[in-house]
Amino acid sequence: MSSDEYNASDEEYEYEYTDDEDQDVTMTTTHNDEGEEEEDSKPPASDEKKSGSNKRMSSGSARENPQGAPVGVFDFGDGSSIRMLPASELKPIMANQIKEVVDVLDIPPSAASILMREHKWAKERLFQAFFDNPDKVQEKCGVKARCSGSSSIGGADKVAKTSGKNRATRSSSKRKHCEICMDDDGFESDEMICMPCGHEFCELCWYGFISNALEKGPLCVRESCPQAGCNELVTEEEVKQAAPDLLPKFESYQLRSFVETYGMTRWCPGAGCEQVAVARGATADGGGIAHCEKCTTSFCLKCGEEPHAPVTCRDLTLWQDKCRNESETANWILANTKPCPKCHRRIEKNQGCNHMTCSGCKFEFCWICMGDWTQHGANTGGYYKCNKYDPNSADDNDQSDAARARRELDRYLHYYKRYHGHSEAQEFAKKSLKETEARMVALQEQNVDSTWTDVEFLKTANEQLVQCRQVLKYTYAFAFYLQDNEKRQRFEFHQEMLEKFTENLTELSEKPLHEMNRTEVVNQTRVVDKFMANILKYVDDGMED
Amino acid sequence: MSGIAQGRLKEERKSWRRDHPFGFYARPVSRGDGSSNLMLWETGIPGKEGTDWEGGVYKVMLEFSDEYPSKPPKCKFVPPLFHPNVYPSGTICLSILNEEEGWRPAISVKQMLMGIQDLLDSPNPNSPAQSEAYQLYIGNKAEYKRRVKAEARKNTPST
Repeated sequence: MSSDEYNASDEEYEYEYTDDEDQDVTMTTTHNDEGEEEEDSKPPASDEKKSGSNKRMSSGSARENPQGAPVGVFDFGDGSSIRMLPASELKPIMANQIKEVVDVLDIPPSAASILMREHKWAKERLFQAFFDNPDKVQEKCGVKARCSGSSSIGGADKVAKTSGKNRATRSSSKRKHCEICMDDDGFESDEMICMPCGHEFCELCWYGFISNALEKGPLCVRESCPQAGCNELVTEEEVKQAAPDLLPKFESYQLRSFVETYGMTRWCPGAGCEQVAVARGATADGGGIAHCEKCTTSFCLKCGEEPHAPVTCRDLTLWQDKCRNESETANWILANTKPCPKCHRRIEKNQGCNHMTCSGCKFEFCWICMGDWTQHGANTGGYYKCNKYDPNSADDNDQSDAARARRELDRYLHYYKRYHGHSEAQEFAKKSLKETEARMVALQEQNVDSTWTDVEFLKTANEQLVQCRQVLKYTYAFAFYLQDNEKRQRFEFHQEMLEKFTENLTELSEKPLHEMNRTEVVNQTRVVDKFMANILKYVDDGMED
Repeated sequence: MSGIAQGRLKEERKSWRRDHPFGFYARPVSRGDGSSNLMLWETGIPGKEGTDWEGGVYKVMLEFSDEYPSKPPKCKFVPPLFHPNVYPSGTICLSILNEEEGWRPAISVKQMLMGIQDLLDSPNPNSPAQSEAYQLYIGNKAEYKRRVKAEARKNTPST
């Protein structure tokens, strides 16, 4: 159907008072499936390996440019791969993108903006689809009339002729009819505002329509023509004419939509923070860690979660879904307290270390496996061995569904327990950052000659612990999805080392101040940092020896 | 757009009187003192010829709010109808009547009623609203047909 035919039939349908004008309302009782394009935009699986790398080693991955994304759009000049900008500075970036499309496709900016949004701001994809079949793309995105050259004034004129003719048969007045308020007196031409599709409504109804759309929030940028069955989209052009005072709000929603759909940007997830992370060159899918200086939040550019190396964004989502679905079972099983293995007194863990001493019977045990701590402690010559899932503890020979389900649940619980344990320990460590300051002051006062630098090791150790717990937490999500047995064994060796030394450091740094040994803590911090880097590098290198 | 609801409904009323599809009726309910309440309409939708719904005229109440036509009216079968897309309360689940989906301010009362008529014989199994009609529609077409015909008989206007 050519655009002329389209307009003509449309006019007949909307502006003549015939009996069958009502037939064209399209409807369904289903929701529109907006997500159908999601799959296409996913990067190939091989890219995923790069994701989520920790800040210590992220610099390389985000700078690569596998999809030919426009390098040079953001020239930060300092070689950094991710930059934080206030939202307002994104406007020129968006405008640039739109201008390029306007130049190439020769369409109005308002239409270019919609076309880009519907193609997730992937210019090449839009161009390809557009040159393939411009009508189809314009129709699908609701900009057909806007692109077909007839400016809104031209459209209005055409309609004016038709409707004038029709109106003449009905009433002598040439005044225009608004199908929203249906006001009996009609309106002068200059009281009407017209969409490119030719549908016009009175100024007052337009204002009401737009303010109502804005109340619905971010979705207002997808609002279509007030006419029934017309899918031409409302843009800033109409807002400018009908509700200029609401234009800034509309534009802020446009910008928000840009940041959310553009492949190289992500809002800082910090509460109330208005900063935007912008990747240089490659898309945000390339991964990398952004640091917001405004609210001191660190997050993965690809998925917006806290840095989660070594686990990939995809596996992290799977894992979190699984944990959400099964958390009730898991929580029921784990609860918040455990009985002392010896005297069965309920114990609540209130420090980060897994080395527990029962306050009732003085029995020392490991919080994770509930075994005697003498089997674990480095100082007793024991060996930390509680990071591995031992499938032999379950009866493998029973092939019944129930037994298989139980084994699968056991396996999951093994990883969840440890994930959860480190997650809580991470929170403890974060909380104790505040107390650490007080401890540093006290420690400095203990010794007359010591300076602030002499006690800063406590803070460094504490910060190191927060990071280690974070990495350890995600190593369990990672290991849960690790299929290759051999690789898992090697991975678990690295994990075991990191876990063992993290536990040591936790214990050392939580010691009463009079027992604090600076050299020991400093050394242990260094060792732990090394092990953390090792395990991440091991994964980054593809887990080959 | 508040404030225009009354004016628009007055015009809808006029336009309906001037011309409306055969077999339908639609009028604001009377307050009993000679005046009528424009915000509440009583309407009747006939089953289409050649379908199992034929013969019945189904009563639907349209409840308009002050925010009409920004927001759609609430449309309800009274009494509730045996139909997969009608809630047990009688409320109708249809895209053009849903503000989040297909509702547009320029949809007329006539278009709404004809849309509901279309829905009668073309239920949407993807949006079940009541379990009884849905289960039969999916699992037992013969029994479903029988129930629809019973529904049509029950709603046949006495002449």
